[in-house]
Amino acid sequence: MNSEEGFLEQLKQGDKKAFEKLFSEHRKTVLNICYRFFLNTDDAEDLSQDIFVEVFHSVKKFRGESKLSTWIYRIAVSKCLDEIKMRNRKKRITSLGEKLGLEEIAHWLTGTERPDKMLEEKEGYNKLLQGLNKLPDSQRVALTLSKIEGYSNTEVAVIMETSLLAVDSLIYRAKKNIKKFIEDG
Amino acid sequence: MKQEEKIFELFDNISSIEPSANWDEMFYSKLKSSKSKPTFKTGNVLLVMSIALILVNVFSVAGNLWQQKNHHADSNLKIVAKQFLISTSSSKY
Repeated sequence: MNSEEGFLEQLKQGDKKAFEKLFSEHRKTVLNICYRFFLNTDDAEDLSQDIFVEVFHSVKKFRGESKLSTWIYRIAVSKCLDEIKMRNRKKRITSLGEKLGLEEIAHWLTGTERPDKMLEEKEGYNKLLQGLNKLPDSQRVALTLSKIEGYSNTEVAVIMETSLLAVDSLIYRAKKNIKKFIEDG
Repeated sequence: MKQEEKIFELFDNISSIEPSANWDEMFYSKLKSSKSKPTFKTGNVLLVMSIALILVNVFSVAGNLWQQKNHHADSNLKIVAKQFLISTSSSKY
């Protein structure tokens, strides 16, 4: 039994120290995957915690067909995409409220500032996020993961369960689409 | 530099963030509350058992009503038969 198999066995048996090691080893990468998707530190923190809660509850079902890290990052990507879809649904429902300025009133009444308002005021980040949101899931995932520190396109291909050639193509198309979106204004 | 290149450079240059000082505390608090929530499996079992209990009650009541109906029909039949016997016996004499 190699070291990863042994570690996995400890996790399946609910070993607290093993979990603590797992969280501390992968926490930063998962956090930054989430950050790249949402460009918002609060959202990234929140979602990264939810991801590890799911990892904790799902580890017994993990059969070890891939590396543990690959499995965790797949869960992270899947949760980020689900969150984006949910927000898009909510946006359609709340767009009327936004048009009426209800959100602004709510923040004024509660004395809270909109998260990352300073970033949002920077047109660049806003445009970037809009461009990213318009990408098909596969392109967005490939582009986002490719920007995570220490992750090569080969590792991205493993997480996405596709070929290196496919990842290169997805990244190329993603960049092209974002640039086109920005050009079109 | 074109605008789109500048904006794209933003994405390339986003620096990594570090977990906040209270990341661990928030996470373990979420983990604790997730453990106390019933799992989907447990909830599912409770739901199925509740439905089964309701169905058992419904069938039991239906069964009782059916039995009562049959008993009532039997009683009527007995009365008719008695009357018939009485009338046929009377006719002999």
